[in-house]
Amino acid sequence: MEKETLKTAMKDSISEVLEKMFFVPLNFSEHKSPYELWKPGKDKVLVTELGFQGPFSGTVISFIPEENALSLAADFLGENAKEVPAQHGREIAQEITNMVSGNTFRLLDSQSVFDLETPKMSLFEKAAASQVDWVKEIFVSLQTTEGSMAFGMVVR
Amino acid sequence: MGSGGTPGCNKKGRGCRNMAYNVLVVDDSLPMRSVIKKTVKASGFKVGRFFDASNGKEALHILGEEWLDLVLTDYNMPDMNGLELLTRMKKDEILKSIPVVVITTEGSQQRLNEFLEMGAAAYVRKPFTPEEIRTKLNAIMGETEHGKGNSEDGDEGLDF
Repeated sequence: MEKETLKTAMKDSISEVLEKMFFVPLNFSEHKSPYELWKPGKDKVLVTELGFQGPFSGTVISFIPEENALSLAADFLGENAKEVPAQHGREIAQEITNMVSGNTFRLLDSQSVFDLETPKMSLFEKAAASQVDWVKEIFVSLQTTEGSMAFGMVVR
Repeated sequence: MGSGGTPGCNKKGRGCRNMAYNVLVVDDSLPMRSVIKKTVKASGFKVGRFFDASNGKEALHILGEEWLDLVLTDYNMPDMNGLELLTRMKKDEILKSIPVVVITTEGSQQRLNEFLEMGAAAYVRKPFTPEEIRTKLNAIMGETEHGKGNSEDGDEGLDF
């Protein structure tokens, strides 16, 4: 599968998910790695990893600052973001990752079956470490009214 | 079972075109249940009351206690997933007539068709807009009300 084809599908998927389901307008930016956006140990970023198997296999990784995730959860719960439990922010991040993943594969090939694993929270240091060379992998960064977010895909 | 609904309406709501529906939302995430409810509300679909469950087991308990017209369920949940819930409802004499809509991130048409084969009234792919879900839910409840197939959709999924 061509990297650019995958990247385009992922961008379309992200737009659909954030704008349709969460009513969050966005603009894509040109950052090449999460390190250009956030500093590990300084910025609290929720990193969600979702493994998948299908015609090709790999992992989708999302980077959503905790503050943004809590703000999104608060909007839907009708609460103050400062009073929303951290767990709800994590659930929103996981659900966004799940939706972006499923929607990406649907846009790519609705006839093939992709098995998605349960999303797992990871550490910013682990996911963004030198284990992943983001220059070679698919990385999409974006700006929203809630702040920056990013999504990546590592294909095995 | 509780006795909600509009007086004078029978269980399938025949003759009650303007009734509001009691909807059970089943998802293991509280924020996601809020997202779904907010989107359904924004769509203008006539909701009388929302009920919440975090898994299939809880959903069955609520279904035994309250009058529900429609179930919107996630697929992947602990302690009984959406498909198991659907299967259990289809085996119950009273619950089997309640339409179940599976809300899913599943992208494969083959898998989505399996939901319908298992007895789901429809599937809805996430993400969905308020307009999209209103169209499908109105069509489903119209089928239930009149006992006829919808000439446009039949038992099809909501696929956007």
